[in-house]
Amino acid sequence: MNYLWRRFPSLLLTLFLISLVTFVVVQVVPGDPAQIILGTEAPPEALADLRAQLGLDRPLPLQYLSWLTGVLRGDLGVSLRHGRPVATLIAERLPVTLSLAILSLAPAVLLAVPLGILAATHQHSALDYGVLLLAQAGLALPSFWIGILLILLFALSWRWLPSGGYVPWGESPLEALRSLAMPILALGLPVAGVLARLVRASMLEELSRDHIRTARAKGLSETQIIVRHVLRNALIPTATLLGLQLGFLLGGSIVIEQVFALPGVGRLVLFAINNRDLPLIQGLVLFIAALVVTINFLVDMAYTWLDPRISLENKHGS
Amino acid sequence: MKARTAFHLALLTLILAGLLAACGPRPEVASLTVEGPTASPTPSPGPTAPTAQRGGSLTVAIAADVDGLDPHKTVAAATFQITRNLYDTLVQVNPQSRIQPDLATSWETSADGLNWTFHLRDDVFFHNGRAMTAADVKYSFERILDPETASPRAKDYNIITVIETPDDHTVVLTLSEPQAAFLSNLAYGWAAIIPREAADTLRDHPVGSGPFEFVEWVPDSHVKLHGFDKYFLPDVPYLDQVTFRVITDPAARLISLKIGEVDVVPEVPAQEIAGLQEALGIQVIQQPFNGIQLLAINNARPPFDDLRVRQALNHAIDKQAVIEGAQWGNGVPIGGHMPPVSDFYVDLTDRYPYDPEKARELLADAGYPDGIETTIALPQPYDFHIRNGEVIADQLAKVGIKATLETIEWGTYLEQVYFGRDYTLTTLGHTGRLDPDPFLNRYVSDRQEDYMNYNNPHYDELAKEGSVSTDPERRHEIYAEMQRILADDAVAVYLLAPLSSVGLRQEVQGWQLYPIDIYDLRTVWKRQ
Amino acid sequence: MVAERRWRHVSPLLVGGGVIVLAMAVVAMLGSFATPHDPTAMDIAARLQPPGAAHLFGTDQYGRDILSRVMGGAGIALSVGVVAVGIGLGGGMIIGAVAGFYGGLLGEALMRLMDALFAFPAILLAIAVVGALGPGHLNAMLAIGVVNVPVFARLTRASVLAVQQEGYVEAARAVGGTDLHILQRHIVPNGLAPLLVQASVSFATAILAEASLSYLGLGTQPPLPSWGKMLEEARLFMDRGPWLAIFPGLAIALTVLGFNFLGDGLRDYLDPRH
Repeated sequence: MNYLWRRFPSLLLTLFLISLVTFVVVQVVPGDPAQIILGTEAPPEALADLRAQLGLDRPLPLQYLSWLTGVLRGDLGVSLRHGRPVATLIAERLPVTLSLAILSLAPAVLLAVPLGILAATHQHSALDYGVLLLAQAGLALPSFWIGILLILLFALSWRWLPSGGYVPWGESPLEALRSLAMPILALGLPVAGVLARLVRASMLEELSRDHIRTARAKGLSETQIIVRHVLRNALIPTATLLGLQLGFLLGGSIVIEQVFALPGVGRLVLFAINNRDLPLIQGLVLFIAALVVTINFLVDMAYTWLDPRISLENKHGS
Repeated sequence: MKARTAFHLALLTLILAGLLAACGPRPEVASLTVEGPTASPTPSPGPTAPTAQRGGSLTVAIAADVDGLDPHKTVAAATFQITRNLYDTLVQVNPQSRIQPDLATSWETSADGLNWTFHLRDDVFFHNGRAMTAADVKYSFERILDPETASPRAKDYNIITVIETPDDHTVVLTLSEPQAAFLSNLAYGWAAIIPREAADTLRDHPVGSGPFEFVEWVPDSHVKLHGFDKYFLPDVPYLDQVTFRVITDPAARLISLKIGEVDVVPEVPAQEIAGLQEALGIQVIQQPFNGIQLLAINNARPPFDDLRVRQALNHAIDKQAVIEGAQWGNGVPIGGHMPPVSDFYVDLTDRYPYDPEKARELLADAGYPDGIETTIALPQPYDFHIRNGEVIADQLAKVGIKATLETIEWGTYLEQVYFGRDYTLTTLGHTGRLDPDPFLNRYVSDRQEDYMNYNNPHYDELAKEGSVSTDPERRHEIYAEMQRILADDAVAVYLLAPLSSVGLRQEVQGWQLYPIDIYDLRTVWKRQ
Repeated sequence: MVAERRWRHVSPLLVGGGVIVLAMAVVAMLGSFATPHDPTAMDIAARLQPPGAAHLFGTDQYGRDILSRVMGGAGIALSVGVVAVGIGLGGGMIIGAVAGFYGGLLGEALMRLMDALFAFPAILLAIAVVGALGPGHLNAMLAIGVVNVPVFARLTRASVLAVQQEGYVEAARAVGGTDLHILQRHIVPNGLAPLLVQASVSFATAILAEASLSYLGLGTQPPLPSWGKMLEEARLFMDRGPWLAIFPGLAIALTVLGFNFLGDGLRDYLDPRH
């Protein structure tokens, strides 16, 4: 609990800085939103009116303050292109992206954990190198390339899965799963790569610990050792990595949603940027970054709670 | 060593997987021979009525989500393509560009061209059940002109000064000056007639009098419409339901079409057409598009303020090669600022034949024997213009013009190139209009749209005359001369008029192509 | 002076990675003047040729030779990596060293700023920066570089703190060394190892990031033959010309693999705990 009290203010400070960075970056964006909305034939008076209406002619610090106070009340602004509150737009699309991100962890875990364990228990063998190589390959391939190959294979050649689009869970869980199958594979493979290596490394570290040697000396079988002693400790960093991968997954969803035509938050980001929808960009970027930071914070907390051996100071890079 | 072998194996597997997938059941096209456009079935004025089947549901893949469904408040093509089915206008245009009655059955003009009287149908209902009257027409135009609405198209109708409704089915519009294009301006989607009571929520809950009524709009996903049983034309629509699915990725759109997830892809990218024509269960309809693509020149910026340099540019470009290279053969060359489908088209394609030698001579004459360096601005993400630019740059290099390509995102492009006129060369396109006046008057020197900085008082006079004249023969002369002037002055390099290509599943019948950006689903039906 | 010499283990990863990276560098050099064809020259009549004698990797939709473009792309990929990692490393080292060395309020503020930047998913931040500056591979390099600053800053600061804890600094100060001298002789050499490892990894992710940006239309623009741009263009022809996508994709994979191997190998070499 002490930890929580100490880290919380820095979380808040980080969030505040994020809002500042977001605002500044977005303001640098050239292009006049009024022009884009009203098109090429609009008269200058209409443009000036719209600009005033949107508050684009006020001094920057004022714009920032009014935006920030709105955010604290839950009002992320109103999208210029959609004419609807940013918060609503995000809420509509969040289920898609969250489903995508969270479910992507499934192939990652299902592939990486067994493979990582195998590699660790057969260190320096062909199997070990094989797993390491596959992990590297998974990391090295651009996820959108994997996605396209998957579409060619599963949608075009074999007709097993739909090539794109999203079916809401409420409508049909089976169809929803089918529409997400390829995206989560494409997104999850790089994560599987990272995870496999981590599982292998933590297992190796655990296996070399004293209490394992003791267990062996006591005559426990290898399997028993692995299951009862090694796995638990080895999987802790794995669990935390999963949480930390969320940032990568949210970023990766931008590209994957594009490839598979999924109406998620990632696509909304691209739309916002391509249309110079400043309020939407601001709200989206802030939301995503804040989400990632908060989740990382929670994961950090869970990590220290799960493994009190970890010193609170030693968390640099990873 | 083991690691290496495993690595090779892994890569091999990947390549094999990729090749396997690629060599699917589809026929391989080893070398693409580019043929001319497919002979299009002439769009018939109406569906072949005896064989048209009722019922069924159609899915159309669209490239971008609608910008709301309020026709008075947007300029997005994506919106208007759909709203034609939700709303009606006073008059409509048919595939042959003729103006025909829609909500108005007939109309007259006063002798001085200032008063237009429209007689309205008496059997029109809105989707909310109420019958349409002249008051709705009056309200709709007032709404367009109202500054509060901030309609981006208000300018087109500013010419209307008074709107009167002598009775429930007659509307009289009074103009401030005669305008030849006035009638055709009433056919565009942004002049839709709406009911007052639905006006405030029109964006998300459109209510019109059109053949389909609104079911739902899930932003960034789809728009769903349902046939309106009280539509004033008795036999149509044939379809029960239409869904417009937003699929932004062009490759994904085509894949959906091929596997039957969607029935129609209204804009097939040029390089996919040949492949689509060979695909099973799919037909491709093509028609010359009412629009042009060009290499625009900033006439005020040296060295392109010199006529000879502009002419050199024209001679240096092989338009047929651009069509084949960038548009895969799906277009026809043009020589002036007018698409061949227009009644007013004048064939100027021979004005500047492809002649690289001549181009070099002209450049040397103008003082650039060693060529010039310049930039071409490309609007992103408009692929066809970007590809035009790429092929052009390659051609220009051969006459000593070294052109650097600069891709600019659309928002910035508008601000910098189109309005700011801060460019030297750029590839762009213009959608045609129903009347030559709004199409050609962009070159009038004081207009905001004169982004090429063309300045010719004689041209300005002609444009003014054409705009108010009501004599068809005189107007033909005027617009012919205007096109010739633009070509003679080499204001731009007029490249091509593209072909509109629609990919449909074989069961879909009755799809027609129009000279403006609409998808009219009244004539469409599905073989069950 | 480095305090201890430890036994260094040269693993196959280091060798393999080094070889691949070197090979890529050679290809990149050749790519700027010794390609079989001009990478940007169009030949419409020869478009979409499968791999064959005249064009080892086939031709693309404009008839351009893909082998030449892949070679040209090597130069772009490596230059993106170098600039992006350079910016990240340079900026990060300065910020991290200052934060770690001087600590206090300044250090805290800097690290909070780094945390804030780090919180953005990399692609998102890169897109936002490129969105602000405009598409193009120079801006992409800048964006990816900015995205990399926080991780290098953190590593540097950690190293600085670790070194400080080990007493070198106090000892050096006791002997009268200046700040700069301490930084140069003690902090930098000891902190170098993790930075090098991270640099290799960041190189790989920079190449992937450029590919993603180009795929989204925000990175390298025509007619430059960036691998990511080639993949984006190739998408439309995957069923008729899979070679358009396979070779650039393999090039990316191979280069990324090389740098990852290099990073892993360096880690083994510099820190033989494993």
